[in-house]
Order: sequence, then C-alpha cells, then structure tokens
Amino acid sequence: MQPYDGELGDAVARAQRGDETGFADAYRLVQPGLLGYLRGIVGDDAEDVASDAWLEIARDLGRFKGDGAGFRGWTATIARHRALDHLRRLRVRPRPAVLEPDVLELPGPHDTHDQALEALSTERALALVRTLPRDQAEAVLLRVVVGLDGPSAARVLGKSPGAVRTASHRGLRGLARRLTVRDGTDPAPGGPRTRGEPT
Amino acid sequence: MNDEARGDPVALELLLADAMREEAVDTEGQRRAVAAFRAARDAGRHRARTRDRDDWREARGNGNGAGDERPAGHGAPGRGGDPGRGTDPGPDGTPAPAPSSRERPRP
Repeated sequence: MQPYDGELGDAVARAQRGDETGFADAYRLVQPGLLGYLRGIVGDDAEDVASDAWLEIARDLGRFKGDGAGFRGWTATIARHRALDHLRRLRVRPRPAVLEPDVLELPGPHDTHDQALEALSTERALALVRTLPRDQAEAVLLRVVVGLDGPSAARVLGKSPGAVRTASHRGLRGLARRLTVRDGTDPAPGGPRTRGEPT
Repeated sequence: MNDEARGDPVALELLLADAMREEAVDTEGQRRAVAAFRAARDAGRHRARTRDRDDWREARGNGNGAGDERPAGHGAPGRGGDPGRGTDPGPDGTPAPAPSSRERPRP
C-alpha cells in the first residue's frame, strides 16, 4: 500500500469522468515508480517505453475498473507488455548491452558498509538490480519501487503469489548480500542478516 | 540506519525505493500523455468495454494470502467484487464505482 493510493484513486476517478487534470495528477503519482520498474527491465530505453505505455493508458483509461492500488497494477501490466515488446524488437535487431562494465563496479575493499549504502545512487541501485535474475528483479521492483502488494505483483507477472513472494525474498537477499560482500565482510551463510560491525 | 539497512529487509527496501524512484516528473512526457488522454476522450474511446484484464477491483484475492495461488489475470470465480455486475460498464459506459474502502493487509 502506497501512501498516495487514496489520492491516486481520486485522480483516476476524476480522469474517468473526463477531467484531464485528474489524469495529469495520476501521471505524476504513478510515473516515478513505473519508470523505476522499467529501468530495471529495459535500462536507458525506459522513458521511451513508458511513453508508449502512457499512450495506451490514456487510450484505455475508460476500460479500467478499480481503485488507486488497482491502477498501479493495471498500469504496471501495460508497461510490462510494452517493455517485453521492446525487448523482442531488440532481439531482432540486437544492440550493445545496456549496462557498461564500469557501471557494475561496486565499492572496492576500502569502502565501509556505510559508504556502500549511503552511496546507493540510482545508477548503482539499477546496476545491482540488473545483476539479479529477471524474475527476481521484476518481483523486487514491482513490490518495492512500484509499491504493489504480493497478489497484485503476481497478477502483473502472471505467476502465483507464492512464486512472486519467493522471487522477491531471494532478490532482496541477493541485493543485501551483494552490498555486504563487496566490502569484504562475509555474510552469514544463506542470508543477509549479518549484523556484525565492520572489522 | 545503514546498519539496519544491511540486516533489515524493510530498510533495504526503503533504500532501494529511494534510489530507483525519480520523483521529478518529466513535463514533456506528462504533456504527451495528457494530450493522448484528451484525444481518446474526445473520440469517445473512454466508453470502451472493460476487458477482464482491466478489472482490478478486488482482483488480488483481497490479500488474504492463504489459498490465493490460482493463476493470476484470469476471470476465475471468486475474483471478487460484485458478481452480478461482472465487467460490463454502466449503461452510459461510465465505469462502475470502485469499492469505497477496503482493508488490505500489508504484504
């Protein structure tokens, strides 16, 4: 549940009555999370894919039924379909990998835990997320960045809530481990819950 | 705080959400989306019929967790809402009202 879901539901209802200000409000509330999700799937092409998705959202708005949380799920589904179409087109005409190797450079051994975490810039967060298997990355992004609950994320991905819950847990554990391992502290086997002070 | 982030999945989630969500919205993108909205509205496209995939009322099993393992996205029985209303729009094509309130437990 996102803090803005009530406001979003209201904006969507106004838009469905024909009020373009309501639609603009819905855009402002949804776009940051949607763009973050798309960056995790299509990298630098996220803005173009989001733009395509919004054309479809704008066209089909009258078809949607639901509240603010439902609108997040509906729009994420549309965005995901546009992203997958985009990836299929790229496979037909391959381009260089989206991620440059230096983007994947994480803090060196001199970095402390705190530095690693404080420096979690958008770019590094994206690079970290993209090291995950795609099912895990998508589950984490839908839950954490778009703000969907488990069943909604499952519906977007066409999977069972249990499968998405597992993928999300594994993804978050993987991210925590990458953050921890990089400064030379071995995480406890099987989990990120290493609480020891840096040595 | 960072110590917590390392060991606490919730703190890590907050950190990630902060990093991945860009709050400054691109006004040109918004302008294009609103223009598309206006064009669709004026062409009457917003009266289109609701398809199963567009109905997100109670579509998440109401978050009660247990037993909610059916395939997502299909019009399975018990998908919630008002079964009598189905997914048809109202007589004038306007959307049915969303449930006024609903308790959904946190994931």
